Amino acid sequence: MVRYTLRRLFWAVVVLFGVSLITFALTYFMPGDPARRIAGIGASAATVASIRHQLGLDQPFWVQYSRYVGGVLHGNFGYSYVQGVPVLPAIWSRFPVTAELAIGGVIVELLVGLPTGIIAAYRRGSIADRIATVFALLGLSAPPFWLGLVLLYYLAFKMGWFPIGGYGSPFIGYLILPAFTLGIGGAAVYTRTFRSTILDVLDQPYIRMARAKGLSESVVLLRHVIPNAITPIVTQIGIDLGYFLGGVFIIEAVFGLPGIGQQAINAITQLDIPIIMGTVLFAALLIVISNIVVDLSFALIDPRVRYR
Amino acid sequence: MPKHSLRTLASCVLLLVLAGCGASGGSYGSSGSANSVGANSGPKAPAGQSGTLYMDWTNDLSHLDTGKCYDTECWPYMYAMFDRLIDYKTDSTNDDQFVPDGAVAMPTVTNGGKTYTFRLRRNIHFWNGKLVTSADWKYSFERIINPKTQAGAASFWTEIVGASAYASGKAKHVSGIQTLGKWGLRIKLLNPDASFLNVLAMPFGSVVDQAVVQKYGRSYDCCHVMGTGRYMLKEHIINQRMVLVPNPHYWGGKAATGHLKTIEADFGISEDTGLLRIERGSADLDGDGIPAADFVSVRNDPKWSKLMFHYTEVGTYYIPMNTLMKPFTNVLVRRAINYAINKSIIVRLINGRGVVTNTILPPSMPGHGSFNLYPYNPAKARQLLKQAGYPHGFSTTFWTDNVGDDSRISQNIVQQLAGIGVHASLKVVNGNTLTAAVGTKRKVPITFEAWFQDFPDPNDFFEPIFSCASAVPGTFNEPWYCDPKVDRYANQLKVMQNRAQRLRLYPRLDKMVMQDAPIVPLYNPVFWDIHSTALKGYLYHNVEEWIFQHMWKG
Repeated sequence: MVRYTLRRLFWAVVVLFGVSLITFALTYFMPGDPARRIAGIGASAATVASIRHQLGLDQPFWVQYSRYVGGVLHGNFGYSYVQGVPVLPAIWSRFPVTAELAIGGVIVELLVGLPTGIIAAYRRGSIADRIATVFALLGLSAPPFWLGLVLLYYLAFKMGWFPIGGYGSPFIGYLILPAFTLGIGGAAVYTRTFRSTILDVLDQPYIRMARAKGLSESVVLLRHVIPNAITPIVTQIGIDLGYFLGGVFIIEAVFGLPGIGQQAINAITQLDIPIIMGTVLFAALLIVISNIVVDLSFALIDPRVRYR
Repeated sequence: MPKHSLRTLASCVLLLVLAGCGASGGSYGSSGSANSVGANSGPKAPAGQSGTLYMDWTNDLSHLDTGKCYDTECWPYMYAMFDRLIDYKTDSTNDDQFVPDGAVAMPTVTNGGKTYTFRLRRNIHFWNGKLVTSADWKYSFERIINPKTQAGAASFWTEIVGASAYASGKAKHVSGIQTLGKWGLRIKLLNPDASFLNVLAMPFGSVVDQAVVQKYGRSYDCCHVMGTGRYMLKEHIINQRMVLVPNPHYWGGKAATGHLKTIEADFGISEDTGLLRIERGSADLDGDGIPAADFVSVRNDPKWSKLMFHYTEVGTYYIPMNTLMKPFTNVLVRRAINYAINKSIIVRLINGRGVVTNTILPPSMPGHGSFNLYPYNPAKARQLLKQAGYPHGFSTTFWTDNVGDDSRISQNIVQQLAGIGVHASLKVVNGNTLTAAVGTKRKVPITFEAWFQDFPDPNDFFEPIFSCASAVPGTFNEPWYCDPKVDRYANQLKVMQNRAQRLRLYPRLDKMVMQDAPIVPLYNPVFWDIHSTALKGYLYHNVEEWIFQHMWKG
């Protein structure tokens, strides 16, 4: 297990290095001039050239990249070209909003997806099962930006039940609609997955044994069915959380949430390369960590799983 | 200033007419009356200060540092938070008269227009209480010229004596900026410049506190700016919110700080959401304007149409042709292109969000004169092409970008050119790429561009786009135009001290350039805005944009 963990960590570093190289190359070769962006579109060519030189943007690719990596290894991710603030604190300051949204989204996935999956499995072939199937289809098909705008228009604007976008205090009110929009698509996946694994578990001999012993169906469900069916859901939670924490930019853009996703989009449009690099590396790190945690958690959940 | 810095305003410009937008002012509601203080009157402004003005933006402001702010989003806040030696009178939309601000009076101009002497106010304080003296003004101006500040408008200041030596590190100070005791300032120019007062009235000409700038370094821009203006920065949470409050120690007194208790800018709000918030009353203004998809319904809504404002912007959309690339080296070809374009179709294509123009200067730019050298005439266009040696037309590449309506308009232009035998393949690139490409010699033969005023002086339209000095790499002189005779005349006008005479002569310069036809002027865009029912005293100025001190919540 220790060797496995170390091996995964080693490859995680390799992956992050690769992500940084590819991202840096993309920003280097992408059209546009960050120096022009900083100076303002009306600035003279001489002013732009001066800024380019000050920032080292006139250096060759490998010089710029090695300088960047050197900085990162010393904990210095650079400064935003646009606002002049250090990159790491800038990203970290937006993390709580993204984290709140991510956790809220996962909660919606679980609260909606799991009960629906259980009902669909236990009422297999019935109207309830069919409703759950249609729900899953709609949830997977509805584009998040469309769903978000619809909810915003009807529930926030027309009914006035929620704030119309933005973020403030108390944060719960601002996060209900975005979290629901984010989570409903995943809930559809959880419904289908959980239904499928429950049906598999229900066919197992130990379930028949439990019923034969006279246990109530609720006890069978809670003590035998769910613990054995939950493993793929745990995997999915880990993957979803890692992905969400990297910034769900569509949801953040629709609802005006100042999270990491919005920050990444702003950085791209503003050619703010240090922030682009920082947000991409941050997201990659979270996804890599979440994958490692999910893999390691298999061994904890299922004693039959052993890593070498 | 080219169009990309006004992307936000360009997206505001929406459907529906307005041939009635004249040069004299904006139009409010559906009646078309000129906008001024009280145009939205009815209730009087309350005594005292109350209420919060909420303004939504899709993105956070790029800069709060007056040394760096050079786009239309941060611009109005610079005028709200900082003082300059002189300012614009902001009683109406197109009022371009100067008024003294940090100076007691307008400067004494001597030495053939090369020396400006100011007497400074003695009661201006920074928000931290420090008294502003001539040393602060000198520092603030030198800071713009210092390359380390990365000020986008540094080139406007290079005409000051000693600026080049200072910028290159050969001098510790700018010799042409002299303090006259604590309350006097003298600025000497290398050559007379009739637009120099306009340069001083830009946000770059604001006074800042040297100690604060040096204390905070990089983070001064986002979070620790120090001004003297009507409003002070209370809070700036990056990409979330910015809050301004009236400056209780403003030199102009409490009455000059208006009737609002707070001004809040909320960031990360899309145009669509912003409009919903205005309609719901959660916001009062949206800096990004009215979404195109909603414009018609809003314009036709009897309630909301009364709360809309529009005016013809001081900008021109045009087709530049590279005078260094064949066949556009031939003036007959360029004139043919001018005759070939039906500009009304383009304005219809953008649903009336513009007014057809045939001149370089917009109608509301001082020095504008009306003429039309090339009325639409495709037959004449074909004849000129034949005369130029292209009886069957020619092929070329029409560059455009993917911003707003640009590619749609460019497609239409390409279709119109095909009508006279000019086969242009459309090349759509990213906005930043286009900017870089047009600034490269002999790269872009023909394209679609725009220019908006930096300040209300006609030289701002000629020097950056049509002067020989501007035809260098990285230029905005997209046609790479250089005519020494035109240059000489433009320079004569630039240094002329008699303003009335100067402005009378600009139409002649406009015509001189248009006779060479390096561009095809297409239209002047119309800006549309909307505000909440609760907001009163709405006023928009064509340089300073939203004038917060005129507004109140009712």
